[in-house]
Amino acid sequence: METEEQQRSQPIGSESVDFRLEVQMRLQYLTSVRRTVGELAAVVVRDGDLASRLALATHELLENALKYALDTSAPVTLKLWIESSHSASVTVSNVSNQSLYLPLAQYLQTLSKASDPDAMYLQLLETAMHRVSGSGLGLARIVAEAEMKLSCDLCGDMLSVRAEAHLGDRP
Amino acid sequence: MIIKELTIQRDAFSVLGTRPAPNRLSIALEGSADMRVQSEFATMIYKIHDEARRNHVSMVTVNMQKLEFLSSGCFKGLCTWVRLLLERGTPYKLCIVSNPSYHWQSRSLQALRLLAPEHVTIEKP
Repeated sequence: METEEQQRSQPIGSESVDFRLEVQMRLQYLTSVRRTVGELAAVVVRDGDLASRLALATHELLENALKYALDTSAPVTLKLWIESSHSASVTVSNVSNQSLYLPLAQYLQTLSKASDPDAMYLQLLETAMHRVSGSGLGLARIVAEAEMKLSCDLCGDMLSVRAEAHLGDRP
Repeated sequence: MIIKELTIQRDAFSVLGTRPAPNRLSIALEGSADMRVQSEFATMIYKIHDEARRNHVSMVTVNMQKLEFLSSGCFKGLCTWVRLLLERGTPYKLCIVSNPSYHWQSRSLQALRLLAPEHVTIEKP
């Protein structure tokens, strides 16, 4: 049996993955979907740490899609895209509107412009310690802990939030 | 000895509180903690804190070796716990036993420790 270290030392090769899931999302599906993404990513990228980061992003984005769903009967789309040895991303799309999109886009810009993401995250954790409701940490966690870039766009009434990691950009 | 009041058993997540010694509490977390248990987990943290204070506990050990995932909402519960630790008169410290094979734990717990490095330690088995 290969150790994780041996697996990591092997080249990723030209393998790419385009995995899509469209589902009427329920809270009880979260763990299964997160595990599926993590396991699939681990097979392709042969990097347990990166697979775990993609799984974390999947969970947080899906929780947000559920939390801010305008129509709980409308399907949520999850896309896992791994492009050979270059990048990996998770995109979650759901029905939304301009008034939810604009503050989100602004928040993502604030996160991406932080000169010291770790310091910013620590500040958010300090704020979270005193918050009565909500954590305000989900997206920041993707940036600071999973070290992924976040972006979003609204096309019609479909909001897509994307978390992307460049392979090999973490020691 | 199992402490019934510090125990949660749900589909995908459980908390088991025990008292291994009179001045110690041990809390084992297992499974995946997500939005479904967020509120219950937050309440449980206050219960553990109260139990620790009432019994003059010096150390609470949180075993996360079987904790597959903790969502940000539940992670916020741990941040609240750190705030309680920093309150004047809190007599105990927190020792978290992590599982390095759950990669997310190393980043999340390191960030948590930075909130109160003198009150929180992270151990790898």
